[in-house]
Amino acid sequence: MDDPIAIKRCKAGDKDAFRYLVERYQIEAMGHALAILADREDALDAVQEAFLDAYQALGKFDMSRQFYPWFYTILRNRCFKLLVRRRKNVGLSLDDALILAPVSEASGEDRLALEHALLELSPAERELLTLKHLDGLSYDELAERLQIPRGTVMSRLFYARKRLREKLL
Amino acid sequence: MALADGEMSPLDREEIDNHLRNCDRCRAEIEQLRAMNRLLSSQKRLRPEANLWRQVSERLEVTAGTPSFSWRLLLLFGIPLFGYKALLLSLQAAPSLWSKLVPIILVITVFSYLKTNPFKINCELTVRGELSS
Repeated sequence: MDDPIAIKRCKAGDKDAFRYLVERYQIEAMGHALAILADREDALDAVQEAFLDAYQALGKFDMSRQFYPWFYTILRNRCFKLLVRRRKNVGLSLDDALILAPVSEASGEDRLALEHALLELSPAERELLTLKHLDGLSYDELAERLQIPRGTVMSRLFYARKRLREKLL
Repeated sequence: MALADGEMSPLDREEIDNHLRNCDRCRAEIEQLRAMNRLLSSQKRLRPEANLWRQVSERLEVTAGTPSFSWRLLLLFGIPLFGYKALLLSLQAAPSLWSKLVPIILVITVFSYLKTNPFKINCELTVRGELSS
């Protein structure tokens, strides 16, 4: 099965087809939610809610689009709503990786410093920087994903990097 | 910044390269930025184990079990109105007190059902990427 077939089946009420979408994108979605929320429990909640929202909204899904960028908009709305509702402080723990995957021993120290610096940024800054550098999205792709103009992407990236550099120093 | 990201137009790039040749401060700034970009781009995003289907499917079942909005509307307004009309008919005589009380009871019922937001106005603050931690 591929995404368009799964989506068509979902529109017809086939829940097994939706299972395919959940299982295909849940890990990616969790990674993105963690980068925004920096909290595993919240990320789990947000991703679940986002999948439920997506299921309800699939009837209006434009088949010319790709599923995940569309779903990402739903997911980030859920994440930012959760942040507003909970307003809880994120416990920063260096032992517990939330954003960056351990790549190699040699880069362990750099990774920890970067992880800590990222966690000190705002959720929106973390989201932008991780989408740019970890997912490798271009300015245009970021503009589409975040639904902001390209110029705004550039200026936000500038300030996010500036803040990250301050945190790393 | 677009220069450090490699998303500069050729014309802009030429102008900036000319400037960078003569400006130590900007050159150092660009170098710092590139080093940070390299550090960030050498990392990989964490891919946490997740198995959400069970929870999602359970929630889907619950959602499917609740009546649709049109049915809720019918139940919400149809039954009380039907009851009101039936009451009027049963009283037959001029129901002066009832005709005043029933609409009030009806409104209270509707408002309490919808829990202080009777017209479903979305009063939740929507943040579009400007939250500080």
